[in-house]
Amino acid sequence: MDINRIDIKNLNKTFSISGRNRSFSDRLKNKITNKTQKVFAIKDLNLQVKNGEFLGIIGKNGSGKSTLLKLIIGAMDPDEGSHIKTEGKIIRLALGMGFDVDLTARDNIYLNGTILGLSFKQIGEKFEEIIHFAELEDFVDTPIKFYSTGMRSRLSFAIAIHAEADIFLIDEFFGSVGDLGFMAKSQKAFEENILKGKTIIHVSHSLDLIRKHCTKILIMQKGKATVYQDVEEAIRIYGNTSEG
Amino acid sequence: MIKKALGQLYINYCSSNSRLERIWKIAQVDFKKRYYNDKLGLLWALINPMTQIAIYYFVFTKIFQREQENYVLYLFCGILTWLAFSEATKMGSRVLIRKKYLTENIQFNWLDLYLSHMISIMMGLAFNFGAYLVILLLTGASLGKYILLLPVVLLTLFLISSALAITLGLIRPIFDDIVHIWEIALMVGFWVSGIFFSGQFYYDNYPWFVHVNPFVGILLNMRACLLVNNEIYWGLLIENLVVGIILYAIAVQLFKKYAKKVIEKV
Repeated sequence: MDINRIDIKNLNKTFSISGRNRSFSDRLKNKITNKTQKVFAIKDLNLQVKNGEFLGIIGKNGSGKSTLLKLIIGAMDPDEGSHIKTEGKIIRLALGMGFDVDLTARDNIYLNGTILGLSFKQIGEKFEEIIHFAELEDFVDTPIKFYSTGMRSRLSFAIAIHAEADIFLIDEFFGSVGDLGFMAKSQKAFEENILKGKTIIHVSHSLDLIRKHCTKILIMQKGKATVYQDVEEAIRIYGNTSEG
Repeated sequence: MIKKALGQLYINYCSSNSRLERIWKIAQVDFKKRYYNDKLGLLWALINPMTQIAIYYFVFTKIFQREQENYVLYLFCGILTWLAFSEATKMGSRVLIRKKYLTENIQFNWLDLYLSHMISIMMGLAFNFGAYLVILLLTGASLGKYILLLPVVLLTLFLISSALAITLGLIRPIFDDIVHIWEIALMVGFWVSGIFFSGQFYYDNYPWFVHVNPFVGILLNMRACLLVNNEIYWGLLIENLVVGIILYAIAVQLFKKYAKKVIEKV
């Protein structure tokens, strides 16, 4: 329980907006005169998440929540001088995650499985279970592009709960996982498979979900982040700032 | 006993090594996807080069009256190798863009995407080599006496194509125009790399050119492996392999340094 799964120190992330659609001469001029616009997505963030902790991240759209998850998973580089250390396998759950829509569910399960570090043998053993859980028995060999949003979400979720990751980054994933029956089933599976002993960072606008599971909260506002150990207090403060 | 040892090696290294399986799976789906929605499927992998060979064969033997032993096989060899290189580099420039759905959500070594891409290209090449062997049998010609060196030539092709694919993949998200520049480079390369005539011409008249354009040497040596009466160029074989290793090592370093910065622009 005591080891730090995620250790972030002095994290900064700046995006340069270079005006991609402008002409080549404009872009060259901007480059020479150093006129590119800087946008600070994350400013000086310090955060430790211990093994088994459930951190909730709340904040308005554009406050830097998804950028933070991408930085943690290593999909982008932070600014120089920033420090991010992670311990263990990470998966990010977002709608439509990791799917090649031209491929069938079968291919996508194997593709995602191998990328998550499972061997063909292990995937083969879990395959039927995943399909059964996602309730997609009749569409195993149908390309994902013909799936409804609900079907895609169910498949994402079914793969995710069978993934053997140590850290789960959940990005607005719940809420559209399917009908009420499936939501109840997924909630149960989530509690049984992911909650137990895993480290979770959950980005959500649903304060009920945050309140139910989180052990601490990170509120993000225009890239600035504050950590609260008291969940209720964090939600109250966030409510006040949102109204303001 | 050897079988048992090999089996153990497989269990230790391959079956439990999901990295190899991952690379293989991505290569497999990439290869499959290229012909996924086409009615004729994999046949297109054959129809395209065959058509090109037929046209060039007609132009060079009937119009330009070129006379050369086994000229259709000579062309086949050059065009297949060139198409693999061209496809590897052109499609390679989009690997990071096409696979963003994976890189954003799961943590793994992104270089695996390029390995898979190159394996899928080599699968296409292997398929076409099968067709080459059929024509070889039909025409009564035989393989070159240096056939055992084919893996070295293929490895060189693999390394140089990978290095260029990785580099183009890093440039494309920040400089789209590279696509057009590369198209022109490929068009020039197609006519000056010895696909239609022997690279010996460059070797004799412009020796510097064979060192600037490694494809001349790759083609010369590919024919020495695959077609009778073609000699191997030992110097170019070793030089190109070394160049391939150096280019690949540089491309990997560039990738490690810039890949994440580049993907932000996608």
